[in-house]
Parts: sequence; C-alpha cells; structure tokens
Amino acid sequence: MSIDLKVSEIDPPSIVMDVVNLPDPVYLGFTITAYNYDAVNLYFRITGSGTGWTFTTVDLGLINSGTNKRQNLDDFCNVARPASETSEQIQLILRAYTDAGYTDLKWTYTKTIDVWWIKSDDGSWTQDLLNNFDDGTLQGWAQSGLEAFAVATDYVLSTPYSARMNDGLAGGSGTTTGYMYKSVNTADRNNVIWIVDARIRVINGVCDYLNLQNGATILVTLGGNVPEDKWLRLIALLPKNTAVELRIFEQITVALNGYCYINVDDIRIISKD
Amino acid sequence: MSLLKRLLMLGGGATKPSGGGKKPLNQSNVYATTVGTIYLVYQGSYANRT
Repeated sequence: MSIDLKVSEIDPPSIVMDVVNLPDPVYLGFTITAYNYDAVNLYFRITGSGTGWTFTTVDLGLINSGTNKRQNLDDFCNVARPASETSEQIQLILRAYTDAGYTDLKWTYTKTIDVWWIKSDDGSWTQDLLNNFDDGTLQGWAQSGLEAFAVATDYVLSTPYSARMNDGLAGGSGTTTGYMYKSVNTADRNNVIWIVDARIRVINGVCDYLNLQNGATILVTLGGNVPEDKWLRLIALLPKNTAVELRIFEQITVALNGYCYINVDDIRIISKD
Repeated sequence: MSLLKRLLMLGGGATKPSGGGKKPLNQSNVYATTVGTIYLVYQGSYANRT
C-alpha cells in the first residue's frame, strides 16, 4: 500500500477569495479527493462546518479499498459576504460508512481550512496586472494545444470582450488538453494574488480539469466535472519577485465532435506587503 | 514508519466514532485499527461570480 504524495503536494494552505463583485451570500465550490486506505470498501459522505456558514452534505458513494475518488462539490457552502478583509477557519468533514444507507459510521476525518477574504478595492492593494481584453486584443496571452483562441463577445463580465479558449476533437472523440499563457514578473511584495474569472461550456463532453498553473506547477485545480454555464472566480497565490508563466489549463473528454468554450475575463494580479 | 503515522503527520488522522458503544470486532476491523483510515485532499475552490 502506498500514499500518493504527489497529489498532496498541491494541497494549498488556505483559500483566498476576493469579495469584490461577488454576490451576497457568497457560494463556494470545492474540488476534493477522498481516499479509502481501509481494507474494506466504504461509502463516503462529506460536509463541513464553520461559524455562520451553511454547508450541504454530499454523498460520494462507494470508494473501494485502496482507491480514491475526485469530485467537484458545486455550491458546497455559502456565507454572508464579508464587508472587509478578514480571516477565519472552516472544517471539511469526511465520513466513511460500511453501508449504502450511511448509518454505520466507521471513520471520520476532519480537515481545517484557512479562509482569507480580501477586498481588492479597499485601497490596500496595488493592481499589478489587469487583462480585460476590452481593447479587442489578447493583451499578450498566447495559446498551446487549443483549436482556437480569440477575443469574444458571447459571454463577458466587462464589456465588450472576454478571451475565449476553444478546444475539441473535430471528427474524433477522447481527451484533449490546452491552455492559454502569459509570462509576467511578479511584484516584490509579500502577498501576490492572481484572480481569474472563467466560464465553461462543453458540448458532448465534460471538463475534467480547469487549473491555474505557474508553468507546469499546479496552483489550483478544479475537476471531477467542473461546473458549466456560470462564471467562476478562481484565485491563486503567486511567488513574489519572480518570473512566472501564468497558465489557465483545461482538459476535456468529449464524444464525437465534442468541444468546449472557456471564456475568461478581468484577469488580475494584485499585491501588497 | 507505519502508514497511519505518516498520515497523521500529513495533517491529522481519521477517528473512530466516539459514541454508540463498542463495534463488534471482525477481521476487517482488526486490520483497520492497525492501518485502516481515510483521507481527504482539498485541491481547489472557486466562488460563483454571478
């Protein structure tokens, strides 16, 4: 039996979320992977707790002994939108049962998550980058592995343009990947935060992954069916005073002639000490 | 180092239910008390933008 430490390496220390332009209450989704290291097959259920927070309870179903399951938990929890920068802690609670009726509890695992709410327009942050594509250009972003990459008007947050990645397997089916990227030098300040708003549509398929990466290094990864047809805000911490290659990376699995569109808008990097 | 010890070092271990009395022991439970556990990796999050 072995532990997949590779996955653990991308376990971030905290959630950072910018409250500007988010609805009230704020709804958060999570991507998690649950592991069953027991000698028997078990049924898994996940929920959470936190002062003032409301969590749903999601049944992950049967996970066989020695295996794991990756799942996205859309609209998993909500909380009143903070009015100013603040930090708090929440708990993710994973339970494993021996029966499909979820009555015979065998294990409980609790993971504490630090949540750092920021307010990017409170005057304490310096805006180091804003790419809203509203001049009709891709503003220095390039692509790799995509079928097409261009500004678009079909879904935007700031008018008139967003940038849109288009990937697929014309005439075929299966799995394909692609990403948009841009190289930047981060500020020499202690907190450097990358903010991305994205909206996914997949026709005849699913989005397996949507990652924020620094080069090949994964900073945030959503997966196990990333939600579609709504704008999502993803945030990653960047190293300070460093040359980084920002990548917004996707993988889709599609049936014959399936494809995806991923719109992104209002990409920002902000920083402060 | 045992598997359970390594998992505990990774950020906490799974616990058995504290209430409800003793569970009947069977072979799988005996094994579980030695190395069996569950684990959760948080990989990413997002907020609904609109």
